[in-house]
Amino acid sequence: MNFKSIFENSKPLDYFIFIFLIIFSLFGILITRQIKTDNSNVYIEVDGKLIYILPINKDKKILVKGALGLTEIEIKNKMVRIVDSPCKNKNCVKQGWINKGTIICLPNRVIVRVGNDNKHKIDGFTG
Amino acid sequence: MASQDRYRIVLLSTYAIGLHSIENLLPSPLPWLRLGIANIISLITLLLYGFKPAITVTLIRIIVSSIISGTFLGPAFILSFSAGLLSTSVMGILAQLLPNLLSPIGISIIGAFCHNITQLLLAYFIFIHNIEVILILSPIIILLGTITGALNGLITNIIFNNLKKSLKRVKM
Repeated sequence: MNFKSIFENSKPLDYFIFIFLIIFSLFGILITRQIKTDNSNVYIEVDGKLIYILPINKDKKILVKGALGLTEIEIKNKMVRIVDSPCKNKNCVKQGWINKGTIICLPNRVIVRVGNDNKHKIDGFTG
Repeated sequence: MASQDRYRIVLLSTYAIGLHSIENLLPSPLPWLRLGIANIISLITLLLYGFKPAITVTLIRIIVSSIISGTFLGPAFILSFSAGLLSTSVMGILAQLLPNLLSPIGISIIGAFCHNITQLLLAYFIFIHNIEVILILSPIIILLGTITGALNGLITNIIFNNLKKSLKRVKM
């Protein structure tokens, strides 16, 4: 066996196809990463009960009635924030825009959570 | 078909089944990641003897090794059968049409790519009707498929060049 012949007779088109497919798939991975983060939802809970599930990629402003009064929540540019809250310390308003994790307003018992609960639906596939 | 050709096909199919079985025993980081080293035999058959023997060897390899591993007529069998058929056909067409533009390396890469694409499309249309899963998986699978296809192509190139030299020596 002569291992020196490994690249013998290789043509420029071979390298072109190889490099093209590598770059193409790397771009694909970058693009699908973006799609992946886009499909998360905003979950709004009041007093431990889930009352709203909203897609994060649709801009929206809603009012939620909590223990003290109305909390205003805004979804914009794939981010979410609490605009106004009737609570005293306004920690939830100060937290500002988030695109993952949670905003918790304890006095008004409002929880805004960004995430994706769908991932438990498919548990595996072999083929 | 002469009996000599039949023996050749049987011998090559046995090599392919053996390689496929060894590959099944190798540990893999991902369940669907396969090196596809059995494809080396299909490609060499294609280059040495032509399209018909190559497709015969591929089909014998897929059917027999699926009976050995117990997946005959199952979903995995449907995927590998159609992908094997299509990728070998594409490789055959390429080897006939562009013999001066592509070496075994390029043919192997394109064969691996066709194999992946067929499996992804079939998986989408028959098994998981979820386009997002397929879209997220496909670039990763194509990337890995290109790398393993290139490796197989390089191995095929070594074997093919050595075989050609030894065949020439016999003729002289």
